[in-house]
Amino acid sequence: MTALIAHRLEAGYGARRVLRGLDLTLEPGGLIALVGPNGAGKSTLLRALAGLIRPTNGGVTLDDVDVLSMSRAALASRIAVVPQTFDTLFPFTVREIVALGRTARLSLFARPARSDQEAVERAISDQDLSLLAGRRIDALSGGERQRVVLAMALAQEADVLLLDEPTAHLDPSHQRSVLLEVGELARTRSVIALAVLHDLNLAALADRVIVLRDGSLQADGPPALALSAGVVGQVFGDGLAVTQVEGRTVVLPR
Amino acid sequence: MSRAAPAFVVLAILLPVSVVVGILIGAVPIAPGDVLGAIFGAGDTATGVIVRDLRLPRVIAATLVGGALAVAGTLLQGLFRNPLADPYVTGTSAGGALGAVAVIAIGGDMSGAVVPVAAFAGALVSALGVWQLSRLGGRTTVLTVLLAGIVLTSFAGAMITLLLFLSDRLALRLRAILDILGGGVAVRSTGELVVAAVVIAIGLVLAVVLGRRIDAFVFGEETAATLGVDPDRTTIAVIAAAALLTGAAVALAGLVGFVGLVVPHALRPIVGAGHRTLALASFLAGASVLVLADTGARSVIAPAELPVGVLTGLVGAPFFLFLLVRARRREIA
Repeated sequence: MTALIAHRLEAGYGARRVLRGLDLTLEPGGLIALVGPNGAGKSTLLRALAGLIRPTNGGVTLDDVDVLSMSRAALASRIAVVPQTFDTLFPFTVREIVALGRTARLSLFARPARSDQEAVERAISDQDLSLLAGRRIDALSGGERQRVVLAMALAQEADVLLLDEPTAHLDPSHQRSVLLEVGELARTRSVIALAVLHDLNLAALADRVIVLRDGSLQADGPPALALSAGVVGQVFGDGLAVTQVEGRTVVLPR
Repeated sequence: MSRAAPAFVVLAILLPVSVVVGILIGAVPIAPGDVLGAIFGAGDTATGVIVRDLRLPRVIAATLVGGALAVAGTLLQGLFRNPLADPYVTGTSAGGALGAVAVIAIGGDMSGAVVPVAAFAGALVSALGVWQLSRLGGRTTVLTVLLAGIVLTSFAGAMITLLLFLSDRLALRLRAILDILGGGVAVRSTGELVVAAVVIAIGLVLAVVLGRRIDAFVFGEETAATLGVDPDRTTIAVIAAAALLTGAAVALAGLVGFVGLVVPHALRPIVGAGHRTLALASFLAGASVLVLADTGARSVIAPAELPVGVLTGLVGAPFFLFLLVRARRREIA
């Protein structure tokens, strides 16, 4: 089984230490939510897991191979990242953007193979974008563009899907459906899916919640445990109340 | 490619038509039949000299320069994710001009590869400089690219002026230097034309090969990396290709502004944003545009000639302003 593992991971920018010796094992099956206050190191952890930054200490392995020892192309066919910003001034079509997910698998000269085209079309229909496939991305709404970049990452057909605030541009009902869908995908296709989330109530929809504070792990487990009143009070302060509604954890401002 | 196919048909017709127009029209009226005869060596000597030694090389040079600048503009716009970038406004052309003027001022051979190589070196240093400056804030914005371009253009301008004051050979070579600064297509030797053609062909092939990787930069360098593209290596390769194209263009025609900016910008809505297709279409369109502009520059105040850079500047600068205002309105600059 695929495993993405952080070993005593330390990382930072210049003199600023962001991650302070983190041990974490991620495995397929269900959605994993990564939460924590601003500046806790969520995005830094995501970037380190994706091999985008060089840790100052420790490291990240994918199936026992250091991610930094893999080529960009090899890494892209294993780990896909859904970016947080996706503004462009260029009139790429939706299909062209989704096809960027196949970049790593194309040689410099070859035309896309049948398997590439199939992966693109599957990602487009999975994200309900068939009617928009020929439209220009700069003419779409924020929510539609969010689905396009998600489809781009799905087209990579990677074993690991890392999502940086994938719900920021979506209305509440789409936020819920996107997360449930990613969780379903993680279960059925045996993918490791980790999403950085701000909204604790969305995190409560996940199968596993990782709580980060000041670059260290504060809690890791099912929502009922990781988002218990004790943990939430300790990590986010006493401005939040935790309660249960219909068997699900709900966090509200006091 | 499908939505671009009709545009390619039009562009493939436009270029030869432009070339024919460029050869037919000039300060001395020559009948079309005589022009055709002169190309194949017939006719009287004066007509032969005008057509074979003046018009033909100049039209070929304008084709190469316009195509090269438009492809360089496509590359720089894609790399900086910025529809306002081109060799001229990023200071890449100015760096190339400084290199070319420097070797001319110190008495370098003007017939072969010396001027193009010097222009390439200057363009490469400038483009690398813009890239580094534009990353200072961690994030490449439209305005930092333009500001970096202003800094480099001013510096190159000051250095050129300094060289003009220091050089004692200038009296003999002032014409060549004025051609570079004013943006006039001037073919000083067949050797220079051949060198430029080879360099531009290499630049065009690189642009087409790199096209798909440049597409992956659409959401930034980090996303390009997660899509499987090595951002630093690709950036260096794209900058080198843009510098080859710009250097060759500057060696032949000096500072011709805005062709590299306007052509890819105008083509994008028609052929799409994919950089492979856009680079090819930009070459054809840029070549046609500059051949026609140069024909205009040779004709408007005949028998005197305007440098074509004056014409592209008069048309291109207001267009650039229009794009800038629109970009500011959309709050992306």
